[in-house]
Amino acid sequence: MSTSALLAIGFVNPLLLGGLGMVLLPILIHFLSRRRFRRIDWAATLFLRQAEEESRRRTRFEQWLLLALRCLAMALLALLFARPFVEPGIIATLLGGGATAERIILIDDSASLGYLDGGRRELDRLTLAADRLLGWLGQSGAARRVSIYLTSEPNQPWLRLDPRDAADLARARSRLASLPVSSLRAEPHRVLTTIAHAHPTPDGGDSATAAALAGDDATRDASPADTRHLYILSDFQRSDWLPSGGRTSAFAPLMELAGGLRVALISSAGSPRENVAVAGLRAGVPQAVVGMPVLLTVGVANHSARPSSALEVTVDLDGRSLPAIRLASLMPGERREAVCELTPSQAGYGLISATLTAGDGFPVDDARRLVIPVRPALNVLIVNGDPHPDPRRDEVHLLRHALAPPGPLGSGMQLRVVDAGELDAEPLDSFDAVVLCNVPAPSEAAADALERFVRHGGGLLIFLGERVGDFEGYNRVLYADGRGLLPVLLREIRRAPEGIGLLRAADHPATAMFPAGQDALSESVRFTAYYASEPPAAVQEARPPRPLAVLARFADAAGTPALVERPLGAGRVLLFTSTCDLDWSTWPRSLDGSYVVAMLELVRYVATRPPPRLVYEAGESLAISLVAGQHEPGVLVRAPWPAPESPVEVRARVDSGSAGALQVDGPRLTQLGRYDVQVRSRTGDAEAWPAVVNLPAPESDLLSASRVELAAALGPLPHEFISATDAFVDAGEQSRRELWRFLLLLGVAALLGEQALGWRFGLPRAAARSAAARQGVLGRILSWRSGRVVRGTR
Amino acid sequence: MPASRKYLDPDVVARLRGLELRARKVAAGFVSGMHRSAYHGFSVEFAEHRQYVPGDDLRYIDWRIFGRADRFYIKEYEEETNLRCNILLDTSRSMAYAGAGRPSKFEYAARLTASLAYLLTRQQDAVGLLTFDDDIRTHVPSAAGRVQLNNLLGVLEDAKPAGRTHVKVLFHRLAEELRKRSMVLLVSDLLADPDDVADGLEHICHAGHELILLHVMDDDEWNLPFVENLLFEGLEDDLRLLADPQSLRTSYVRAVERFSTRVQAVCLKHHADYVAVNTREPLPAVLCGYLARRSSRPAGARSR
Repeated sequence: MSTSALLAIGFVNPLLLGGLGMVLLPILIHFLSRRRFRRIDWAATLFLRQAEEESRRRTRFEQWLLLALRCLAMALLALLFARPFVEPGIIATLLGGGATAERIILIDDSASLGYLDGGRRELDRLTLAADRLLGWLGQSGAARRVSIYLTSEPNQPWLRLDPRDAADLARARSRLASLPVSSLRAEPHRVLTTIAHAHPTPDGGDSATAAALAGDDATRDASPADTRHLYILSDFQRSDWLPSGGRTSAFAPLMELAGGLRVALISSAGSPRENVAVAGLRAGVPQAVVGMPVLLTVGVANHSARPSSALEVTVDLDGRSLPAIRLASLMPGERREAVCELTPSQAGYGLISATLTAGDGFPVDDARRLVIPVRPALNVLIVNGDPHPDPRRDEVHLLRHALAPPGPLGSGMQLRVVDAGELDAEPLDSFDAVVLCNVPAPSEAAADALERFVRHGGGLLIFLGERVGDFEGYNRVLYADGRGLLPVLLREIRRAPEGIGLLRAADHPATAMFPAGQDALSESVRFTAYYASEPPAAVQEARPPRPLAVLARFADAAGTPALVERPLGAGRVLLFTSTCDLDWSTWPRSLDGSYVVAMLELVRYVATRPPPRLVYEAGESLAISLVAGQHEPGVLVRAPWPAPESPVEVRARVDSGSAGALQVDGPRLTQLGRYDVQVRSRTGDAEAWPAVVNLPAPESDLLSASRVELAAALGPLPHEFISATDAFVDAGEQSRRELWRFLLLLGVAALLGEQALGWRFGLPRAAARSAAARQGVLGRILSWRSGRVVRGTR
Repeated sequence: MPASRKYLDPDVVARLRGLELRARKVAAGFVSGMHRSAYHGFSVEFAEHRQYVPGDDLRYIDWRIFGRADRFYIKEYEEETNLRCNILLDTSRSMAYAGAGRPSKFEYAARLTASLAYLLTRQQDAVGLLTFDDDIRTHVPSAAGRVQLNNLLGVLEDAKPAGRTHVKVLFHRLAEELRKRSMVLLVSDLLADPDDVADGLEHICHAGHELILLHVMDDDEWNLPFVENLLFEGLEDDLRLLADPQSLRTSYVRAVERFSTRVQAVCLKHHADYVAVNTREPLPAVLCGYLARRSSRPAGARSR
């Protein structure tokens, strides 16, 4: 449905329209006057009969004409007092429902409304429309209360006002004029749910449920009006307003108000909006090391209806720009990724941004930010279970060279190698990972230290071998009935003299470096012995389920797990059920060099402490996990604007899902850019890191829903679709024109016309003139010449 | 008021002094008077010479002119005789209508009749009176002298408007009643079928009478000036019509005009005078005006 009427009529005093009943007055008088007559004895009945016969139709016409003029005069008089006015049809459409109707205005201030069209934000167009709408509501007296909602504040009204109150209206207009574009996506379903519950219709919805859902009693009206007019001012971005991918219609919450609700969709969208955006930015690793290159992937998407060319992406790391990446033209709807490499030069948190030179009207999505923790080096403790003076027989000689090759090119790892007996005395907190290589079962104290280390975020990589000895000791100390570090229960050593291969069992970062699509991790690797383990499924039957992952299996008939991962606390444990030297395998000698790569990746993987979440999309809440005994429960958050020097303290709550953990939820991150988060430990040390907030990627697709699509989404809800561009921009504040002057003139004209016609119809001279005319010139000459006709003085 | 004074207004009498009603057609009088006789050549008043044409009576050749001019001219004389005038007065019931503040048509017509009778009597002319409605009610044959005038005034005194007007039969009877050529003054509202009126007037004129038609109607009947709703009830018929006179006025006046025009046409055809009389106008003004206009016009062609 759309507005088609150009003009609409309204009345200042509609009750006085009852005066239209005066139209009956002349008719009544007419019929009453026919009952009042004088009796007369008449001689000239001859002429009377002729006249009556001749003038019957004309007389009737004249009488009705005079009667119509009198009725018209009465009607005009009544209309005059009712003070009719005309205004553009758009206004009548928007102001229908009378003063008792409740008016709700929903303004979409989502990021897409910041699109610049002709140098002007689309939101400005909407706020102008809202401003005019409020003006019309105040001018017409068609609303006693207006509630204004924003999509960026979906839980409560942004403003409530009585538009008839000049001060109220001025305040609202002032706030509208300075309304900023938010960085959020529109969440129409959420805000419409709030509206539906805060403004129930008398017969719509379950009031108890509504009250419970509304939550805020202040937003609920004590006496619901009969009808509601909901004006939704938006660009109606498809990704926000149309149902897709299992998401229900944004308008679904309004269905329970269907009986008393009229919806006006006021669209800001004009011509199709062109936009090319940085759609993604991600690093190849979650944690970088100083001096070690990091692969960075930048995604660019063209949301325009035409190809985009001459695009350049500039990547900055801590303010230092890399050479610009040039992209060939992007076809409409195409998304392309560009990869570049950067090398952090200092430890801490690397702030990376990718900026696109698109030159479109939506610059806010032409940049994305990323934060990556940068470690000075990965500290790895290698526990050698089978040291030997001969390097060829030493358990970790090959591993050391794989992880820290000699020469100028480092691996970013700093290794410390100790014997198994030294493990008890070694403080583990300074390491990122511990590698147990063919180590006998550690003491209980060492096992406890290792478990604490892992639970606090450290990584443990275990290689087995002959020195493990009695695996029951391993099972007792490290497996501990499933509560310990060992992911699986060791069963026996299996020998395969001819050697068996190693197969990939799952996609995993630790095995991602091997060629994709192949089962065998390496064609040339052969294992002659390995430990069999209790299948994880059997373990899970006996113990509470633990998230185990088998990353690789031996190519035997049973598919014996070779590489098993188990997260524990903030860290993780990886178990390789064979040796890391040449005792049980040929891997270190494999010609493809996969041993070096695999060892590096495995150690890097376990040594990577999962950082707190550093990258968010606008609208998400800050989420931080703390350790109860380690951190203070308060977190300081400093937003990029408006006062970076004024941090907000957010209290953490106990995480019910994880013992000893504290969870910080919020605040909601509503601004793009860098937030600073500071956590204080119990010992008084402060740990700070940045978090960056990017525009939600779907917001870059500026395609608006069509009328038909919106009508389908609205279903049976009565609605109008109005273009703010067409209807509001040209409509002036004084668009209402009163008609009383015109009606007064018309009324006077009707009365004068009635008098003139009445005089004319009753005028006998006209008949005399017409008779003379019929007599003609000849007749008059004959009369004169004969002199026989003597005209009396009639 | 004495009977002779009821319809004879002294003011009218005074205003008629110096006026006369002359016959335009020849009159077949019985004494010498002011009207042209139908008989030529034997009277004493010379009229004119005209050239002799074969067939003329040789007795009227003026031999003196022949002696001087050697041409034959005939001397023509005019005989003046007294006038025989019959006044036909309509006394039908329709004549009883009187507009507000005005005399009834009958009263007006009676005064008109009395005044004309006085005028003619004063001219030594013979005057007769015939009253009629649906029949001839009174017929006083024409005679001259004051006694006759008194008789006529007495008849007028006794006359009352009554009965309906049957013009079709009546006018033919009147035409036959008046055997000798005379001046006929018809005083009537003529409220009858237009065809019957026209035929009747034709018949009167064809009988050689000089007709003067005094069409007397009230101002209400001429103009229908009423403004309020009226229930019209016919005086001579059973009409009952509730109407707004204002809405009928135009058509009504047009119908009156049509009727009047038709009667005028008949009068024009027979060189009769048609005088439309509105009872709103003072009688002396109407009568004197008509007589003055009539006397100022040149006489018509002499008839034989």
